[in-house]
Amino acid sequence: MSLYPTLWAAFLMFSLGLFGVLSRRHLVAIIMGIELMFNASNLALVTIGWAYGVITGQIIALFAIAITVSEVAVGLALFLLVERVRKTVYADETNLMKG
Amino acid sequence: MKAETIAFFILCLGLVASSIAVVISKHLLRSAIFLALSLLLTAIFYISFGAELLAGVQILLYAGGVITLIVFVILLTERIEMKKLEETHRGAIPALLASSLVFFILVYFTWTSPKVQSLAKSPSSSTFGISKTLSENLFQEWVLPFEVLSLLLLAAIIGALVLARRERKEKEI
Repeated sequence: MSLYPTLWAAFLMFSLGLFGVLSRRHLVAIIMGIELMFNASNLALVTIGWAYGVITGQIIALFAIAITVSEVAVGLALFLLVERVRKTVYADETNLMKG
Repeated sequence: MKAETIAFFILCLGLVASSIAVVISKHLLRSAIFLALSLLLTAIFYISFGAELLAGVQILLYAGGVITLIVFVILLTERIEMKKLEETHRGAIPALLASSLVFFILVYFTWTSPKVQSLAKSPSSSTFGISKTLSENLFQEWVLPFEVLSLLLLAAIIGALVLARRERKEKEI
């Protein structure tokens, strides 16, 4: 177990999630990108906490997992609502608020 | 090279490869399965860092709950879009530039930070063993965030129910 490779894997995962959020069109694919980013930040938290020798990283990661799960539930409900009302699943077609 | 190091690098490689597959896969369901794979690999990372409880929570909540929700939603709405997502990316080049910029900034600041360097040279590498320490910390020092989190979960349940509820028409009632 070493610090830098794990951190870089987490950073790469975060950047890939960001790429997914910025470039995907489907709303569920965007939610999956957000999941990747959350997961990468949790991994970085646990890694840094392990290197420091404190348990706070694990506790914050535990809280972050719970927050993520509720966020996904609300996000998917929003997606179902958008799909029903606007009859589209693509993010670039839901531009009702665009000026 | 020790076998442990080789296994660790294979794990890193698998994590990155499955994350790439999540964002470039054309079929959405396949993307969700690769997301489950990368979450499970992260759970293996947690176990190797001595966070067994976190690994269990990760598998239960993420790989169990979130992936099930996502797959359900995909299957519920797929019949509307039968095109199977032919063009899934839009503006891929600027997105690639922005995300690689973020990646290089993160790598640069951790590589040059003296704090992280000293940590990498001599990590404390203490394993917390069983989850006793974590639960003691969680229910003594962190009990207020824990309770606030339960409130947040309640709000999320109510919000998701209200949002996803199908509104009844007048004559149906």
